[in-house]
Amino acid sequence: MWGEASIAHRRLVIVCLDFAFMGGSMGAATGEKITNGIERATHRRLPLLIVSSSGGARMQEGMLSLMQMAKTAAAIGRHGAAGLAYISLLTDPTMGGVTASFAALADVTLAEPGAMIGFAGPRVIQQATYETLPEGFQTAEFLVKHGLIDLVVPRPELPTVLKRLLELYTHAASAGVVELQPRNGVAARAAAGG
Amino acid sequence: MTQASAAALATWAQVELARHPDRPYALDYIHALFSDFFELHGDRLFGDDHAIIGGPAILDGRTVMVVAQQKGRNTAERAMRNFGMANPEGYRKALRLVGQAEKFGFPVVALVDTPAAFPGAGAEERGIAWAIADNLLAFSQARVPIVSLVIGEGGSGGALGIGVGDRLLMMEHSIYSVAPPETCASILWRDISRKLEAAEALKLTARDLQRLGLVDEIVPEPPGGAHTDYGAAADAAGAALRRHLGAVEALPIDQLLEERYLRYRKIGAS
Repeated sequence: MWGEASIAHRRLVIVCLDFAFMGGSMGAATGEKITNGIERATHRRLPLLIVSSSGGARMQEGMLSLMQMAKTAAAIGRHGAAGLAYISLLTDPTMGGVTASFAALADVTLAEPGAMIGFAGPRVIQQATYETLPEGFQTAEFLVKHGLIDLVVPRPELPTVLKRLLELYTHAASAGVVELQPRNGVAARAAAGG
Repeated sequence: MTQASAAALATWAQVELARHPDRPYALDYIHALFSDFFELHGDRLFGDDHAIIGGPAILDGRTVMVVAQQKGRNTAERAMRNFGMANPEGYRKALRLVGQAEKFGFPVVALVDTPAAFPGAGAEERGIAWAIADNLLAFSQARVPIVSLVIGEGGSGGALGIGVGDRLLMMEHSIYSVAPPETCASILWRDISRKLEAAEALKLTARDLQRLGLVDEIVPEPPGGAHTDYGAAADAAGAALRRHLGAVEALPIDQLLEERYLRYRKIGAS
């Protein structure tokens, strides 16, 4: 589900995945709602917060599910090209095609303590490689250590962290001073270290 | 035998053709279609992934950028190519090459052939999900035409990681799915032996995907499959690539990017 909200008097669009429904998996309807939320944020020039919890792409819908990865990523691309901020909050668990699309494309990526986050599940990895997986593999703390996310945030601290980030990243836009240039294209992304 | 299992067997025959050990791989097509392919190496961050190859090549007198997934033909080469399963470095090399294509205005030809992105501990540590996600976004915005051709197996996010573009073509006996049938059976039923059932349910053949409106053209293979006649398979692939490249190159780039966005935007839209 998604909608517009305010955190500390700053408007934003919040998209939230529901793990209780088919493991939060992304099929066509899920991908469509996520994209609608992202596009609303782009059209209204608002920052975006996506709270993810998902087993990944929905197997039951086949290739239509896989293509939602491309669709949501492209929508994030347009939101970012408009100079708008995107915060991704990864909760337990966030896996597969959700991690490998919109959830990994934020300006700032947060995760809840102990959340399982990755691409391939531990069972799939062990069946494919017979590897012994290290203690704490694919936890939020593991991802911070490997430089993949910015910060692990316990839930009671989330309001403060989100408020600070929204202020930091929307200050220029709300003051109407800085005209951000669209960061279109691969070369621009590479140049910016994106 | 029930009708359902007969259909599943027919689908499984397609899966086996797509994975046939004698099937032409990316380099077979590249050497047949392009003159002077110059392979570039490395992601400039960590390493060189031999499961994804690429570099500039000449097609009809102009330079194109080739990005392709490569499987191995014998045991040693299969190990070197990691069975066509790329690590993050492969996707980051592809990103580097597409960035270069943009710089020089080269159209991109992507040849897809992978069971999946590599499901390994190291791949997770080095951010395989982040590498694929970056490519989905970058390919969706790249200001050059991109034509993708699935030559064998299109496996999940591992295939999509070099597969976003303006056209999607599939060789007649290739497959493309949200997950390999074995992984799907493992995820849904925790039972790999139900892979035939999974393959049937996934709707992964070129014809299934054309019916879903995801594929622009199915490229005919010689009777029996591409492995029976590499020359005929490459000729058909070349003709289709030239036709679709010509069509997308003729469009102004801003229009092409808008059409590329809408191409994905409409999938699953109500």
